Amino acid sequence: MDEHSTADQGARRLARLLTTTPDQRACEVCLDALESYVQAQLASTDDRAERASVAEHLDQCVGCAEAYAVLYEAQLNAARLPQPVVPAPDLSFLAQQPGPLTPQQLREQRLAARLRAALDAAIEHTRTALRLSFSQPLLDLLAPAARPGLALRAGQPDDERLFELGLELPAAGIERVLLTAYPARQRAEHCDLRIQLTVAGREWPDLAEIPVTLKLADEQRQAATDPWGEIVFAELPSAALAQMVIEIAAVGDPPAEPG
Amino acid sequence: MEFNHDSETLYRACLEDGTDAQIDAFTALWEQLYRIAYGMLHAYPDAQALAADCAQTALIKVHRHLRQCNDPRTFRGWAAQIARRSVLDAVRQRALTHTVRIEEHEALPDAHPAAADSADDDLRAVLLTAISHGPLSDRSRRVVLGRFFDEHSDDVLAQIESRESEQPILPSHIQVTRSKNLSKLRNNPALVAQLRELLEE
Repeated sequence: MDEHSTADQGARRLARLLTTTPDQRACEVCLDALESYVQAQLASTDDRAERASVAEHLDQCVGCAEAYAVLYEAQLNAARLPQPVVPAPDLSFLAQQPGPLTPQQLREQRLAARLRAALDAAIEHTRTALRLSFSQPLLDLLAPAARPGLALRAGQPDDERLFELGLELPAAGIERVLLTAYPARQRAEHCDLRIQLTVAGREWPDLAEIPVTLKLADEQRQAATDPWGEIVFAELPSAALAQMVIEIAAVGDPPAEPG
Repeated sequence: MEFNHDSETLYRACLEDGTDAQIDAFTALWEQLYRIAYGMLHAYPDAQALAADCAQTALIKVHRHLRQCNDPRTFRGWAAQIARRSVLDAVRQRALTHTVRIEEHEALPDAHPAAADSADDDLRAVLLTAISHGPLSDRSRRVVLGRFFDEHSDDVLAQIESRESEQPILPSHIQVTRSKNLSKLRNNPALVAQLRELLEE
């Protein structure tokens, strides 16, 4: 005969529950087991012996009991709940920086980083010139579809432009270079390239006569800027842009006033 | 951009640091985790904000522990488990905070007269007296007595209470009710001391 009846066993179990306090570790163990506990309960699996330790902890810990109830009811009602409107996530942890960052913002940030890296590789300063060497990866990054919100230049995208690139890089006396490519009106599969220079300490008409050399696959063109600091190379084969090298001669002090 | 690929493709995309594919993959994963969290929390008044917090916590954990997913074919299930656990942690923390406030407002008298004056040292009698005279509702008494003295399961107790109240009562309601009321009983130092003595005999 058992020393204690069933009712006495229940009383002892209750007394133990009332006289002991679970620790954090017991809560962690319980939470880890809750999913399988709820699944077994919903499946009416007869494994009360295996589930006894979880059941005991749920009687002891209000926090874990409430967590169990949330999980139980969610699993029970899974098929009946309406689908919520899902907000945008914060993906700043992928950029490893503080502050919220939506997926679109992160895309733009990464695009800007790739463009900066490509330009770093493309730009070379020498004592006598500023050299910009294009490549297909750089052209791909400059294409309008690749940079919907990129702001390396002022103004809104013009549908006619093949690309536009503004470089703020004081070097060789040049403060800023703006390159804009347009489809050539008179010749298919060719483009016109406009180069605009901003020079420190100079303005119209003292921006003239700055030599610019443009090298393509099998040709070289040389020209000088006009008084506005602009130059246009017309009818360049579009297919050769990926191998284009632009050299801008270093700019010294502005010309002295006559007289 | 939709990203409805299988677990393995999703997993590999999550690993591609610095790519748009990684952004799309984590965005798709976020939607899955948010739906899981919201499904568990929809009854809370601040369900959307709470679900977003839990899903965000889970998303960051998934990113940090990506390489601990042993089988990429189970990646979605592994991430879902992390999301559910984040919700459980949040719910538990909230419940513990609320429980402290309940206990502050509903603390039992220092020593219950019936338990202190009872001549019956029997453990069962002490418990029955404490349950009968404690600050428990009729349902709470039935739930505690039904579990420990009548050995009813929570499914049976839920059926009993559903008939009594003429509204659907779930086993989860029974569990939470019992847990909260045991907490109230535990708040009686004299009772606890007496029970410890009887258990040591």
